[in-house]
Amino acid sequence: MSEARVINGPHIRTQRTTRAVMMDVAISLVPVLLGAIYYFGIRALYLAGLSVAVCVLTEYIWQKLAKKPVTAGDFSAVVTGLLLVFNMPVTVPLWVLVAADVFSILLVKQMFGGLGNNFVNPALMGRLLVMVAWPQAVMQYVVPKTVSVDAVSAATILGSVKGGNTPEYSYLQMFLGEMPGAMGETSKLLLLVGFGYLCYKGVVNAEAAFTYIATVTVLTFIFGPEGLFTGDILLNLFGGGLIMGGCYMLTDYVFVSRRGKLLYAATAGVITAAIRIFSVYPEGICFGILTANCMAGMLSLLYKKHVYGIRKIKA
Amino acid sequence: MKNKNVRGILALAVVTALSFGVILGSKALAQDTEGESAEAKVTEELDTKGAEGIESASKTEDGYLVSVKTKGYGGDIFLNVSFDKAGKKITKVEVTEQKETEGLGAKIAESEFLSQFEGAEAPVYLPGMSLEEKEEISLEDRTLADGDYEAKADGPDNNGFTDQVTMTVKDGKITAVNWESVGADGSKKSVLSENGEYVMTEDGLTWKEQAEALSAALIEKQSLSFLNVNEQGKTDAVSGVSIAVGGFVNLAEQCLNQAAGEETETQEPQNGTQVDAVAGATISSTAAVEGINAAYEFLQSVK
Repeated sequence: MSEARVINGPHIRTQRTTRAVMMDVAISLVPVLLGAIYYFGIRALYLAGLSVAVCVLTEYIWQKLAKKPVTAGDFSAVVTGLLLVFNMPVTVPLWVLVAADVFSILLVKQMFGGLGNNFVNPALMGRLLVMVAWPQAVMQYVVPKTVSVDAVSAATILGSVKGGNTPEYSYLQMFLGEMPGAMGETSKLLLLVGFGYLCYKGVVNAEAAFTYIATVTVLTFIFGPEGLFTGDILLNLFGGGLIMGGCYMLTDYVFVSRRGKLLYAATAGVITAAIRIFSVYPEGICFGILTANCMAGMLSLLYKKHVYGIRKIKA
Repeated sequence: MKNKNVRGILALAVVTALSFGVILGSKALAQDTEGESAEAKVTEELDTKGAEGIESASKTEDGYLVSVKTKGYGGDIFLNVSFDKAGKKITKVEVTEQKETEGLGAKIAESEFLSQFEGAEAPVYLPGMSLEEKEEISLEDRTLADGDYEAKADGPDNNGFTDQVTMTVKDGKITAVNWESVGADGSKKSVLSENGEYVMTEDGLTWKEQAEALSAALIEKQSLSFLNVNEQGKTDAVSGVSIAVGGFVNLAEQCLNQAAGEETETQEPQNGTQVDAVAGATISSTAAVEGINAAYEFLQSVK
């Protein structure tokens, strides 16, 4: 398959391989994993191990069966497995997690041609599947062990605020991660630490993440629940999975042009904010980013990649 | 390149360690300032053996706390119901676990729904919902004394109308029934609807016509049981009648009870508190209300 492939120049030589990049992403998620174990107990580690194993294995088996080059070792399946598990509450039944893993890797990623060809983020799609098919498995969030020894289930902060309650957690607690939620998205601090590492390694472009997060925060502030300019900025910022979504889910390699990337991030932000403001879903991140994923092709028409050696013809 | 990798990972490890320092530190600080919890102290555990749906119950310093399980739309709903010392008034209701539909049934866990139970006299009921399983009200079992009977609702409904039903019994049979609803200014719904000032639907029967159809059906059947009032207080037993008939059924039943010479304790047919359901989520709301009532009944049985 790879015999007669022609890639147009110019080429930039780099040592950065997919494997190295994905390994960095996986490494950057280690602090989050540690946080999940601290807040939700050792089951978080087992679940992460299971999820990663199922993802890698699914990819390996598929590629063997389809007689494709085996890229299961390139760490991209590891990252998908980690992101998926971080999107679930610690109480998630094993089979739900496994189903989401297989679905993400097999249907969303490999069926569309594997890494780089999938049109949506596999981990987010896996989360969406679970949200729709087994909502009871993922909507029962658990209060961290550090708050209550018993596994008390609770609504997420955003969900409970949407229901007219006042948040029971301080902004500091939300930032540090002491709040009910999916395993990986409670501690904003640890997510940012990992993201900082990715920025240092030059793996991600922080601009897109920043644009996305800022769009959501500003819009939810302007169109607040009690009229214009009454939104709770910190609550929207730290109360849910916004940082997780912006830093790890949004980033896409489709766009080379910087403006295209920003437009894409802003689009995702507008949709997320609209869902938070108008719909029954308190988070909106999953839908926001997935919708923007689907619109990426259209958006990229507006901002084309640079084509070298051609002068723009004035029409 | 190798160097940068190592340095990056080292930096990550150090920053992660620092972060955990912050997390643990803030936790230690928070623990110092944390006061005693708001939960009332448990003074006595109550025996819940044999009580269906009752998870646990205890006597607390402020009253009683009963944890109850009830069947909702998406699965079991778990409620914590607190009562005052007399075990009569509900002080607080919490939903500890539910699997209802997001944005619909799940709203039973929200304060808008739950706050209406605070301070409410148990048992509670939804509009049109009857507390006890309605016994068959057949007239064969009881003889009606001749006379005119009248029953009036305790207070106006949400729109300010007060229902009243008059009934005439002759030779042990219902011969005339009239349902009227009177507004705060004395205006009658039957008159309003006839004049087109109270419009239900553009092309359906007017309120007056519907009320008359209902009365006629009652006279024909000589019993209320055929009405099969559903959870919204509506019935499809009489064609063309689409209005909520819960109020009518209650009042007509009172008239019948008067005629049968039975204790008119049903003057206040539903002693307790009426609450509103979550819009569009009847099953979930009913489940929550039933759970609360189960907790109340259990409490009455052990107290």
